[in-house]
Amino acid sequence: MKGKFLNPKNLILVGLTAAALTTAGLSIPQFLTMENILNVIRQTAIVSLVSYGSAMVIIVRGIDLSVGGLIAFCAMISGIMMKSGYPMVLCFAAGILCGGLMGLFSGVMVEKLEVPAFITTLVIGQVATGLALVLGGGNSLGGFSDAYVFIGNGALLGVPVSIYITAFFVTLSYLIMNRTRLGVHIYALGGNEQVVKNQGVSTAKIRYFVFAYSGVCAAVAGILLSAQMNTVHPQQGGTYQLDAVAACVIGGVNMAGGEGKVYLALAGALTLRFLRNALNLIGLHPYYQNLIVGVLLILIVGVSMYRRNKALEKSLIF
Amino acid sequence: MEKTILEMEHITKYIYDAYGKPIRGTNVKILSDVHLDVREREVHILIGENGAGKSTLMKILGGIIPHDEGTVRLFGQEVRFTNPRQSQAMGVGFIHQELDLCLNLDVAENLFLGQEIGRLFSDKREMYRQSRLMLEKLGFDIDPRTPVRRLSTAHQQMVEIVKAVSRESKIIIMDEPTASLTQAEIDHLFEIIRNLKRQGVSIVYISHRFEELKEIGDRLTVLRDGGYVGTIDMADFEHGKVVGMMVGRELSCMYHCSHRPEAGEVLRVEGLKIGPDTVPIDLTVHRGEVVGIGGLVGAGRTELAKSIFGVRRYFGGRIFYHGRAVAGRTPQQWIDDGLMYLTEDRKIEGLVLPMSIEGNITLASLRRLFPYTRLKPRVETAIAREMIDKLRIVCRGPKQAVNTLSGGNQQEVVLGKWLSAKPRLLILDEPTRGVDVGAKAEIYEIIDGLAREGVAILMISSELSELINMSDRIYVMRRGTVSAEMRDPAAFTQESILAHTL
Amino acid sequence: MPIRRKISGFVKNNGSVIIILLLVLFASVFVKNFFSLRNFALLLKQAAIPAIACIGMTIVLMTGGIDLSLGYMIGLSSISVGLLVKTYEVGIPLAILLTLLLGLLVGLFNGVCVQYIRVPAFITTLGTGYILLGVAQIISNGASINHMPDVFLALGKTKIGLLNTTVFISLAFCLAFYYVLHLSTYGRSLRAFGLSEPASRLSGCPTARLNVSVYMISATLASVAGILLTMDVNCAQPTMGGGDYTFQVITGAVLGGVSLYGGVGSIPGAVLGVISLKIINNCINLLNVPYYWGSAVLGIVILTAIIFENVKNRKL
Repeated sequence: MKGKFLNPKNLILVGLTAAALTTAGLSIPQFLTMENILNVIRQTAIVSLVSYGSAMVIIVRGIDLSVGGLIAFCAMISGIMMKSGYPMVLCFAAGILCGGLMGLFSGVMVEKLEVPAFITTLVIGQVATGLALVLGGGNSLGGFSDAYVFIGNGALLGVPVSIYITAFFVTLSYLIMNRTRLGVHIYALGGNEQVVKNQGVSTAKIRYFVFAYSGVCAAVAGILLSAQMNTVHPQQGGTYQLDAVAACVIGGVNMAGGEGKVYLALAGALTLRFLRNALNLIGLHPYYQNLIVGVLLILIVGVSMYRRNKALEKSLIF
Repeated sequence: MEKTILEMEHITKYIYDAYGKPIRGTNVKILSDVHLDVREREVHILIGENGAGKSTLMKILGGIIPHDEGTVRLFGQEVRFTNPRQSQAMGVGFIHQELDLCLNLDVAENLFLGQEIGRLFSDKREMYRQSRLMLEKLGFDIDPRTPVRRLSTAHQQMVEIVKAVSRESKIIIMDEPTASLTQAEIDHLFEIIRNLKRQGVSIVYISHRFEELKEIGDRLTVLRDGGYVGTIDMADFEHGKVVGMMVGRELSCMYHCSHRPEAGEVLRVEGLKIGPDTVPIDLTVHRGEVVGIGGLVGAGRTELAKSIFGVRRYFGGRIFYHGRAVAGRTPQQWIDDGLMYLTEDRKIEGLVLPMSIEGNITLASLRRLFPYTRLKPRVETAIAREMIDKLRIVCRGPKQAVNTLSGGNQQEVVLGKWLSAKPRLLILDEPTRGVDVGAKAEIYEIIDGLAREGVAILMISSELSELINMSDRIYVMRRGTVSAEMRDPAAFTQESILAHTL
Repeated sequence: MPIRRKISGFVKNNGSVIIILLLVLFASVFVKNFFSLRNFALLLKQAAIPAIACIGMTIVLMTGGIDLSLGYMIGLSSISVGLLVKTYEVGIPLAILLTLLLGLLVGLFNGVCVQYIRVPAFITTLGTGYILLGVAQIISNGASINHMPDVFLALGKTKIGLLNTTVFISLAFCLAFYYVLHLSTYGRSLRAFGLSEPASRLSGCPTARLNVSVYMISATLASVAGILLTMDVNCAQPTMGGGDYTFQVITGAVLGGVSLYGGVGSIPGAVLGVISLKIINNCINLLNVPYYWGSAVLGIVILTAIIFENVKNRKL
């Protein structure tokens, strides 16, 4: 897990991103306007928030396919509570708590029942989407207070509030992964589960935390998304599912577990959003965007798996 | 005399199912009534053939699996560990046979895994400092910031030793610690062990290498087939006696050797390199011949077999089968052409454990038996019954799942699978591993019978007596290549084989 | 003890039968209008198409993989057959054939990614799912195609007694794949592969080909389902099927006792699983529960099924 931030691989990533941004900036007139950039950053905030949790889950050799459902469900909970006149902080807390609990539940299923993570989270995602529909009576909710909308679209000291939130979470995630013993245990669990068990460290606690954290991240993302839109839609999670995984993969989080940087998931999210934005601006229909992201996802994971297999073959003793 | 700090008495462990629940209904036990006592400041050798139960016993002591019956007393206190942390807290350190390190973490992180310094935030600087001190104290020149992935196997092993020592263990279990070390590294390890003894640490040492044992051991306990044989002082160590204890009363009728090699060449391997930098291998096998392959675990024997069988890449060389050069064949093509490979790892590679006996027996000959894809249950059952009778497999019937059979019967099911596929050349990789004495004799009889029918046999084995008594010729392997070919059965001795393996 | 063991053995092996019997019993008692021939015919009709898709999913699950692109393949094949028949005026047999071929190719792509490039199945099929959705929307411009020719519709909607041809087509597929999975060497190899990849490979099962073939079967059966659905609703839509459909199909398979770890599963089980699911849906409708309860109930059903399955395997 060690390695300098500016190692060749990351430099190439940074270089490519910079080159792509410059090309896009030069060829698409609206691309480098302040308004557009702020817009992209706001959208990035959502994807990146989700991807911090997703990255951790992938690092422990899982995957979280429930984030799409949780984005809708948790926002719906807090939205409904807000409409009923509860204080905003309490509503947020309730939504985030629900996200954490749902994530925790996934963690328990994976740890105790040994159900594969992709199935568990797929199912939890479905339950969450279903509950969002039920709670909202099949409809979306809109017309929230100004304070709520401010969190979504306002700015403090010229910086959008969304940025503060995502900055807080990326810092938090970074501290967890790189400065605490829990972080080492998370990487260790992704590296070799048996070793962790032999050391007497509880794998259950690590998994519970990681999945719950992913749920919390999705909840925050969902609430922020609703604040930006000023509506809660029961199916607002939709594309974020794919984008969260893609952001992690673009950010170099290895699907085989044990490796990856949470803050690079932010870079991945940024790249992804700028890509989608550029595609939008050159007038490509949204239909093409999912297609391109899907191709990108398979391509990157394919290349990394291929290289991993080559390396494995080389490391044979003889 | 030093005082006894560990007593394990009447330890019994049943086979267990996928969820760790012991299956008590069978008489199949992994360990049965085993004893072990370890004194302060001693190096206690634990010896026995593969599958004798050494590792299982140590896993019980290390808290990785619990025992079903018997008592464990550590420092006079009866204990029953249910997880490794408990045994660590009681001062038991474990250096595993498979490396017990996270390759993606660095050295210091591995050393402190589970015992990080600092409360909320871990104090990395302090951990690196202490790691460096510990490494230096034991004389290892390793940077604690290096990711373990980048270390050589020997260095990784050193990190393991440091880890066990650093946890202030009173008893350290070393499971074949020298398997991948060079002589200089082994000497260093022994120096460390002597140092530890002086500091009051006891060591349970598992190894196969006799010369090592004499150098380092104080007492020695022998296990055989999951049972306890005896404990002796190293002062009374006699080579023949210990070998006798390990293999048991060797029945003279255990080995059948009535086959005669014939002229026809079945397999010829020319210049096969199993690794990019290994010395090329040449070997031949004839009709009706049993060719043994000796050598230590890790000498490349399994890799050679898998390279021939087409499940592993090799790095140049040619394979001739019945005189025709063949290349790039898949297991399926080989099986259709009569070349088969009985793997060393029965449970993962040999059998589909949850499947029935008949399902496993016909698995390799499905295409031959049912060319029109339609399964005929009657045919299957008939073949399975035939094999059950022929190989004397003890079972309730052909529908019984193989994971409820004993090791010996499981191995006979694998043999049955290959026999029913009509082999012309059978590669056997440790055919009697983890099999009790009775079943061993049966397996030898089967091998001999096959050779008599003209089947060529290539037998990989770590058991020297098996190699000596069964083979017509022996190739000995070392470091990924054949180091010697022994042609004269009269000259096969344990010493002459060992001379080429080390 | 023997009786207890017999009972536990029966529950273990016939979980899906028990589930469906209990469901029918409860529904007959508590839900008005449930117990009627017409309703049963309706149930069969509703279960027919998802059953075909579920067979494909079952076969993929047998290897321990998963096909998350299945629902999107339904959408793509629906719009593809629609476009071919209506816009390009290709003959109906050829249009169907080409659509099936498309499924075969998509499956080949999935299989190659999973087997040879070693991309985890859920990532591959998640990715292809979005690609297929994109392609379907692009070639159709997001619009659906209505009023398919009568001859085309007749293939699926001709009534034979109480049931229409779709049900019989579905039945034919069930029987064919019952043979494939339970009576043929292919099915045996697949089972061995799902239970232990190394052992089956070293026993000469063509594991690589098996692993690719399951995705091809799954995607092709999804195409069949897409075509039949198009006939059923008389409308080709790019968004037909989709993620929810995939989920429904997985739920059906799990209810039918197909293991998510590979190697365990049966065609009758999967079909009963789908029918159970449709009974639940049917009751929701008959009880006048709002439609949006559907997906929550579906989620909770599969969650219960997974937990039940697990507890059952541990305790019995």
